[in-house]
Amino acid sequence: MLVEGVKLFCFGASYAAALAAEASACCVESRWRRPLSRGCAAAGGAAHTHYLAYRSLGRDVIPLSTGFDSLLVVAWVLAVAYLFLQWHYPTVGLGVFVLPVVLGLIGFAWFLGEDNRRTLEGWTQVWGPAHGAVLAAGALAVAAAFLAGLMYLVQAARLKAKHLAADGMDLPSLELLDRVNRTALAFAFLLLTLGLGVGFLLAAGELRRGNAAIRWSDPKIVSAVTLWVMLGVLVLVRREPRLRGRRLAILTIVAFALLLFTIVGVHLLFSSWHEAVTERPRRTAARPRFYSGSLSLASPGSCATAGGSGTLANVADARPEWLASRGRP
Amino acid sequence: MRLVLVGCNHRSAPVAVRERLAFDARTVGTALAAFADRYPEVEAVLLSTCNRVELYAASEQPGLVPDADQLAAFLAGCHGADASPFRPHLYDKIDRDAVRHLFTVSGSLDSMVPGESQILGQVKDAHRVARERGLTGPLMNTLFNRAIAVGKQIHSATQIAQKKVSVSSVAVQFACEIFEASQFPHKTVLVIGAGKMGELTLEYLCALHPGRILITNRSPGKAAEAALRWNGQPVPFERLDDWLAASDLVLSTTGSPEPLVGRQRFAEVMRRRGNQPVFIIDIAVPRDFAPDVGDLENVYLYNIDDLERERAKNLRAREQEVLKAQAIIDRQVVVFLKDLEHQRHSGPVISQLRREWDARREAELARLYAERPGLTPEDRAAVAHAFERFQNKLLHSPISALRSAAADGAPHGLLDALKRLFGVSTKDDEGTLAS
Repeated sequence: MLVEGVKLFCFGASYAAALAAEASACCVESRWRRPLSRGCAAAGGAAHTHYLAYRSLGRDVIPLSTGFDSLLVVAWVLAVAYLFLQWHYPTVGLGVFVLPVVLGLIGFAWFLGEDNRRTLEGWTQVWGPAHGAVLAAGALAVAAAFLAGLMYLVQAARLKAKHLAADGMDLPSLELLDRVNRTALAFAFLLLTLGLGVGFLLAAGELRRGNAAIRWSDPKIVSAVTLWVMLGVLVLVRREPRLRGRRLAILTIVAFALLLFTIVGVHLLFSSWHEAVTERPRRTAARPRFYSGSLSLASPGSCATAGGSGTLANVADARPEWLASRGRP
Repeated sequence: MRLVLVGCNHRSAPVAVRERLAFDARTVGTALAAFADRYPEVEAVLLSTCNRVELYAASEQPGLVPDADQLAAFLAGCHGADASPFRPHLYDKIDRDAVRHLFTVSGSLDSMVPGESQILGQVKDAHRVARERGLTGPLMNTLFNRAIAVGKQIHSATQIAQKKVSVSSVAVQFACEIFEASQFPHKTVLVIGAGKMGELTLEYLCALHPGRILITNRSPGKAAEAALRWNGQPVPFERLDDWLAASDLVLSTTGSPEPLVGRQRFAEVMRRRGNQPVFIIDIAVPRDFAPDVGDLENVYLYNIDDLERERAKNLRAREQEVLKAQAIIDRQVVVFLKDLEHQRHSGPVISQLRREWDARREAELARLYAERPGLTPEDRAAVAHAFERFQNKLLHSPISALRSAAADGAPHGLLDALKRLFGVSTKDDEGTLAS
């Protein structure tokens, strides 16, 4: 079946081709550049949609039940938003900003590997996916704030250099970018608050049920809470005159970097019970040093059934061997 | 066929001449009616805008079309004047040149601001008015429809309309990259001084519909005068810092020999306005704002050289776009004339060929239906469709060959062969036989 043949590579390559076509605007002038770019991005979007729909419908699970899927869903939403905006504002050069983020998210998903999902049981059936979905939406809002911030910096630098935009490289006005940045930060903070709140409730529930593996000092929790605090501070001070414009944009980029660290960096550098509860993914053998399981902020619910018990009780048994050999608790 | 054009535009005639020859909606109708009375067998379109007046006349029979002088006299006569004072300012073009000129006009290459889109609508209107009054026939309809299509093609295939080529429009473009267009009604514009250039730029800025225009000048009388003109608010020059702190766009055009505002002073202004972005257009020479004011965060300061540099860049880019547009026009003129040739030489033969074969087909079908009365309506429709398809396939090759040959001139040999092979008789033949 055609849909079964759609791999990450298919839509990743389509987006990459779209990005190459967009980026060529700075050196090649062609009337075919824009249709080519839009065509490739649309093809990528279609393949991406098929892929997610097939994974979701074919296995009867929601697409946010693993970190792998969460990343792909966030990338998909960004890609669809990009196509929508390009359709309505064809002269705006969004591709060079949005498509690298989309490709980066797909790349992270590929790097981390496809998790094996299990059926959620008990109260985690509802709250687990809700935790994942809200945090994915929060990550999306941070990504939107980051893109607006990045475009703000580019636009501001160009205007300071006193140049008008080159053909096909128009950007929204500074005022609009600043507004999108601030609004997205507020949404990100709200969603992260909700997501983390649900996560804490899930973790507290597990603790009450005697799951000793849960640690509040878990790197993923610490990193996510740090991001939440940073977003809170940014939301509070976003109208502060000294932070207006460029400085807020730079801080938003730092927040996005922290988000990436929470999603990927923690996964690579530390052990986290968020990851330990999922099975070892297929690509782990190629990267023996690091364990790669579920990656997202959306973990307690999305990976709540280690050992098929329906609880987090057996996470210690699921801890990868290399962690034990390093003497980590 | 003959197509003659007589007219004047902003390059050939001063405004004093153009305004005497101009027509409004009412007088265009009167003029067209007068033309129809005087030259009943000639097609005509009258195009009158603020920058041009052009009369196009055409007929399949060249002898019927008035020459350029007659058309010039007609134009002047419509205004009750003699043609001789106007004649030196009028240009005239015939056939291919007239077609090229119309395409150039509809493509807005002949406009005062190349790339402006208004002219396309004006060409459409001129054609519509003439058509409604029965002054257009196959020639003018084909010509003007093609001219409108060419105009649209130029607008979509080139970026001629997107390149701003005046300092003021470049300034407005920068303003739109800093502020959201929908937010301009909430913005305040401050005009310092009242120079001529400043007024021109303010005219462009006013098109963005700013919420408030403050005008300040060392001379309160001048400020009040300018405020009246621009529907603004005169404000005292002594409180300049207050107005600077309250404004989002600043247009400065004073004749001050020293900079009015230094970095230190404007830093304080920025503190007062909560570091909100401000766009300063300093077109005064010498400059009113010290250059290092532009180094402040959220201050976008542009002087006349900055704007001029971008304008020159746009101008170069527009020249490239004009070349592209001219290439489109060249191509379309050739295509149009070929199509016209085809229409003239082979059109009647093809029409007659189709008519005769349609009649034969219908006759054969009628005979078949009479012989087979039991055929159901579906069967009849299927048979009729099959006959029609067969006829189209049979005629496709000869008609294509004729069209292709007609593009290079009258294909007399082929036309003759086609008439003999398919037994076609046209009006010309009948006329020849009769004579």
